[in-house]
Amino acid sequence: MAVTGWFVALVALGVVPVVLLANGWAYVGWVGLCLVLLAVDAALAASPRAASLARSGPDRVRLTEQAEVTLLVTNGSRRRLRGVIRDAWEPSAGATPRRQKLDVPAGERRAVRSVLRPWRRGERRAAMVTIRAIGPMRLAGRQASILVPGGIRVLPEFAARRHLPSRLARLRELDGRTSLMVRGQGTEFDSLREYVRGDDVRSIDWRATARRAGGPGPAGSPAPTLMVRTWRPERDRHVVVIVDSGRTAAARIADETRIDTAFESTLLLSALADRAGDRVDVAVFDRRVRGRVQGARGADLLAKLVDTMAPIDPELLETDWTAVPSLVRSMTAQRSLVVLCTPLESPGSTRQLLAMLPQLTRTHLVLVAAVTDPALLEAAADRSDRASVYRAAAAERAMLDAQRVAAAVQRLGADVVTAAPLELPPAVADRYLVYKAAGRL
Amino acid sequence: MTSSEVVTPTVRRTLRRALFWIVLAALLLAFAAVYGLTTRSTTEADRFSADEAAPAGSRALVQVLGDAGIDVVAAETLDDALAAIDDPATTTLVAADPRTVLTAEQWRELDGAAASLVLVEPPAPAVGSLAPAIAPGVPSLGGVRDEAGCSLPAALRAGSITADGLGLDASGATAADLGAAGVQLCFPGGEGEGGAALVSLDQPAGGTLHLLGAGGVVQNGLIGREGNAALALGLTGEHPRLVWYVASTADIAGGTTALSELYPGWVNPVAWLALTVGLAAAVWRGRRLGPVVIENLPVVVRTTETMEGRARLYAREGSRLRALDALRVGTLRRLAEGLALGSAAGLDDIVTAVSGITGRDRAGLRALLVDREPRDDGELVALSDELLELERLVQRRVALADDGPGERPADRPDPTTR
Repeated sequence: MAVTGWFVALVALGVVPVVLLANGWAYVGWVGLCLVLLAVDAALAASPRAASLARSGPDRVRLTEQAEVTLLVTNGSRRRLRGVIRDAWEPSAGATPRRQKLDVPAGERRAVRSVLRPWRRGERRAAMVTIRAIGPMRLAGRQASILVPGGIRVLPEFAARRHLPSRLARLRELDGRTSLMVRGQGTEFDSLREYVRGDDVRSIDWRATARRAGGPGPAGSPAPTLMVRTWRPERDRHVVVIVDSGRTAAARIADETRIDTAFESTLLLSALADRAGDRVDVAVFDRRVRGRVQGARGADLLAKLVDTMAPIDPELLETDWTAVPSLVRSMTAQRSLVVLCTPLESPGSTRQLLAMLPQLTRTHLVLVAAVTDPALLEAAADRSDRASVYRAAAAERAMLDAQRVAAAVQRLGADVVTAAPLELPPAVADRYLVYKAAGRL
Repeated sequence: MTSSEVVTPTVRRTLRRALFWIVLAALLLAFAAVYGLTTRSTTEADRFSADEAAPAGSRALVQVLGDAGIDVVAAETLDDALAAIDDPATTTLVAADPRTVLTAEQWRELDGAAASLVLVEPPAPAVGSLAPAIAPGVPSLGGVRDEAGCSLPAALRAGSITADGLGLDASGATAADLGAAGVQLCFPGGEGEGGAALVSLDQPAGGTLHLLGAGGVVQNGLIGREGNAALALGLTGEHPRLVWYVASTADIAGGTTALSELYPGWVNPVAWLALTVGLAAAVWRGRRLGPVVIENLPVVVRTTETMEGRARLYAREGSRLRALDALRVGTLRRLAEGLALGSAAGLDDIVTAVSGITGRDRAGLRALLVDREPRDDGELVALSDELLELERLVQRRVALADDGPGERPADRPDPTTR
């Protein structure tokens, strides 16, 4: 039951008879008339309970993109269903318009479309649909909220994918398509081909040249075609990424939580390593495994990754680093590149990580990817007054702590990449390419 | 995805759920109505009213007189009171004016209207027009008076009364005046007790006039005390007919003008209509289109909280040296990086290198970078500025040396030779 603005106007119109008759009974009569009309109009409105609803639309959307969802309203009553409909989504799903006009003749079906512009990653669900059916006199309405299950999964944005083309170009340079690669550690034999000018003379394979020419030619015969060997970086290496989803990952730096930065880095590194022919396994971990992608390749890998990452939010728990070595062992048996996405802040909060690291560095190449806070640098440079000098001192102190932790990590045999949130994903990818070029994988 | 479930309760279900409260409200309303009807509790009791049961009323006296066979008539206006008197010789007229609405002229109309005229707590106009020899005394009396002090039979029978009301004073008049009017002061009280409680005298137009200053004598609350009842019955039960007149607003001179006659008749209904429109508008705007949707948001922590907290601790404790040392360590680190000294460079190496590239003396640099202790916050800020200045200077010199045309400045530290 609901009343409209027209009903309020109708009641207000009663001022005319009341003033003309100048009588208390005129007031009573008018209000009574209004109430009767209200009841009649409400009775004549179509029942929103008789409407049957169905949803359709995509079940996935990438953050910052938009999706159109459709709600099919079938009028099951024998009256015309006219009024307002609200398809209520969770606020961060960003559904527009919030309410729409509805006009469905008896027994027919209409589509109600709304556009979702989600501003937060995760599982967004549609709470309910509310229909207010207005009567033919537009005075009263009947209202009902109907639960229609539905939802959409908002995937991570992967804004770092714009860095992918340049890194792939670098990867091709490393690859056998240019013969810059020479034989050495971390490369494997790729193919034999004819010598062209500019090739390193050291890469000429004389035995193959001789086989090709069929033996030493007589003097004056055309020079035999020289054959060179090409090399390419090792393939089928193993990259394991562990994303820390514990307490410290909930911190927001420059409008992005640390876990989102870690996801961006993971996605870029996975896309790159997959093109380079390496296997990528990812686990999101705090005290239990929150998400895990193993054994996926190609386009499937990224799809599975974003799908796994979408609903994961940081938990307010201390990450249990002692369980990480066994987790890595369960994911890989051979020597691998293990990337740990976790903040390096203070010696106190990283004690467990430091205690665990030697177990990993003994068998694997370990890279710790940590986000630094640009606000610290800003605070350290601001010395305008007394309070800001103390802030600068505290910021210097925090940076010193972080450096000490990074130095400790390096002493334990792991590598460290630190960068601001937007720079971390390309920095991790670059470090991977460096390893690849140096054959350290 | 076609399964659906209506979450809004139907009107019938809502009513059934609210049944308890509806019944409770109805019961409360019924109780209030019954209570109001039975006790007839008005906001303010009508004093001396013949059918007022509150302590300030006079219902008890009137009922006792009625039971005793006296024909009692209650009147609310002067005209009614005068009209109720058929035979003045056999009628007692009790007149009270608790709101002081009657004028002197109206009081004068009562002169000679009845054989016995009793004025309860007479206001100044009444006394002035009917008994000019008497003056109203202290507004409130109190205490028990046990000496009648006059020859009035009713007063003598009463013996003692509880005086509560308006005192009457005859000290301003001469003995001759008092004698001419036949004035008797009853229950006069002592010195400084506020005057007499009852004055009896002749009406100017014939008959007796009783000025009962102690109005408490006829009120329900006090009539049971001492001889109050005897005095009240003696004064009012003298004649077979009693007219009990309490002046009301209807007696106001110049006719009765109710407030409602001052504005047009449609104002009240329109005010009610405006209220109804407001109510309807509240219902219109107040009905939500479905319930609010709630969403669990993830926890978000600000990263700089630790830093801000530490800064406030430094500032509150005044740990200037600690703060300055933190700044110095940062400066030293950046200087070592800028001069390509490597992370293992010691303090002396950095001081030597900086003095080499800037030309400043080593002792001063050492004092700035290590030794000086700030005595107050001003000095701390100054030292911090100096550190920044030094960093910028070194940065500029290094850039200059790097951009230099080929040759290597002699004073530039060479990390390879170290």
